[in-house]
Amino acid sequence: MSCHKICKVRFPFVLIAAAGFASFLWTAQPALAGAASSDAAAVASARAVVSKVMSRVVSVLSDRSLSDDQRLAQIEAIAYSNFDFETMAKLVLARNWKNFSKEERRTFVTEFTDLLARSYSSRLKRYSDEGVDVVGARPEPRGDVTVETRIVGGGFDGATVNYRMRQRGGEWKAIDAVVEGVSLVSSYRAQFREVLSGSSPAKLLERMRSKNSFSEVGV
Amino acid sequence: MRAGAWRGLAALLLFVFSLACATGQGPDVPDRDPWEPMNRKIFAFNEGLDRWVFEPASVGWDFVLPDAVQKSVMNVFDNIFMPAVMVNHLFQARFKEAFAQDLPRFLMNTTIGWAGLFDAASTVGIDKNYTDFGITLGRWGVPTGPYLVIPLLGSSSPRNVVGKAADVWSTPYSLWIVPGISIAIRAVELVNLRTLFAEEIDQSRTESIDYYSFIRSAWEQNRRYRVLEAQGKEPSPEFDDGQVDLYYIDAIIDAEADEEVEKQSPSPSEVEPSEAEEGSS
Repeated sequence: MSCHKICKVRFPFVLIAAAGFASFLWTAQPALAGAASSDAAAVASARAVVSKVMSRVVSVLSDRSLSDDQRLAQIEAIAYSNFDFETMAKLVLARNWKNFSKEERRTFVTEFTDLLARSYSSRLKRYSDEGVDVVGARPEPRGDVTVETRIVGGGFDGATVNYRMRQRGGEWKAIDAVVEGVSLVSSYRAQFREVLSGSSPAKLLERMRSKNSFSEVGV
Repeated sequence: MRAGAWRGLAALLLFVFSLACATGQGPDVPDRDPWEPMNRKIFAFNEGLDRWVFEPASVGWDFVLPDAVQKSVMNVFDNIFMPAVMVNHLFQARFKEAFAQDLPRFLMNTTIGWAGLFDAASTVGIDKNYTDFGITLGRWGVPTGPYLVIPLLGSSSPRNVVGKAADVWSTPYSLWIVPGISIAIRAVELVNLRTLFAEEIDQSRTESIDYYSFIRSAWEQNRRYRVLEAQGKEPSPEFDDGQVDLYYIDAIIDAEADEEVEKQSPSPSEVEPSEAEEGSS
């Protein structure tokens, strides 16, 4: 590596170094998120639910008395009670939902719930070694609320995970988790559409069943 | 050598542009993946390469090096790419990111962080904020074009290929050093990243119903998210089939489902006439 190349890169940076540090002091201060609108109450209550659930998750993850399997099982239990998997199942199948018989729909919801709960729990277990911060919330169409969280520490430090919250029976449930812009619902929907364009609902269910039993053995 | 590299780059750009023009993708075209047959073949090739080369290499890497060292290797590469990130933030007119994040990060991590080995800036709250020239192009309205899988490099698109080519200039180790060494460095970077994200990759593979569609969807969503972020818009997820709102359930679907919840144990033979009709629509 020749020196003048390095110097060439560094020189302009040195010139604006002072400006850089000055502005750094400014950003180091916590940003104030202000959400003042008519949806403020809904936003606040959805945010409170996510905060509560996340602190439970973090306490399970940091509980050293639990074995890895126990920890995963507890997070899965939290996922089961805080996601609205039935709504998610409908969202991922979209127009294909109509091509499923009632029996198939029931099977689909069960299999999809297993798949998603396990998928989400093992990811969360890996992401949030240290903690999760709830950093913001905003209203969405049809009374939904998006709650933004950020992973603190570990290998995924700084990653954003947004939860799409919807009220059902008076309770806030998550209907999607969006990791760095990648939505669980959207990416499963892409896969199901692809598979269903070439085969029947029955074939898809068979495939999901084999996936689920495979990962049970794998865990 | 330099001249050869330039000629190669020019040829690549020309090729990609011609591909992009040939398909002429409009907003109403339902097929978002016109190159799927070709893409799937290259995808399978990349998967094979991963299984036989990168995965074993990363297992070895993981065995030899502690996690902290792997993290440091990643930090060094992040730091080397930092000036390019800053230039792109400037091109995107995101001056706050350029001067309040990228610049202090680069200065701190290069000095206090021992040439980038340690991410000192993150410990005082200046977080990593990745961007590249593909995102810069997107920020100013250049469409991404169809999904494209590149041998060895994976997910991309015409816009992204142009972006990658432009970013190569500003990344010191990619063109400035002797090609042989530069390839070796790139291999280290890839194997190291592969090691850090090994669990994530394994999980995605075993859980996906169709791995190719999953990777395509995840990649496109992530790129779209970063472009929206660069444009200062609220990044809300959507789906690629033209239905803008991902979270909207048809009234029909919802009514049927509610009915289903009420009757917990209907006999399987019971088929309602309304359902039979809908099946054909």
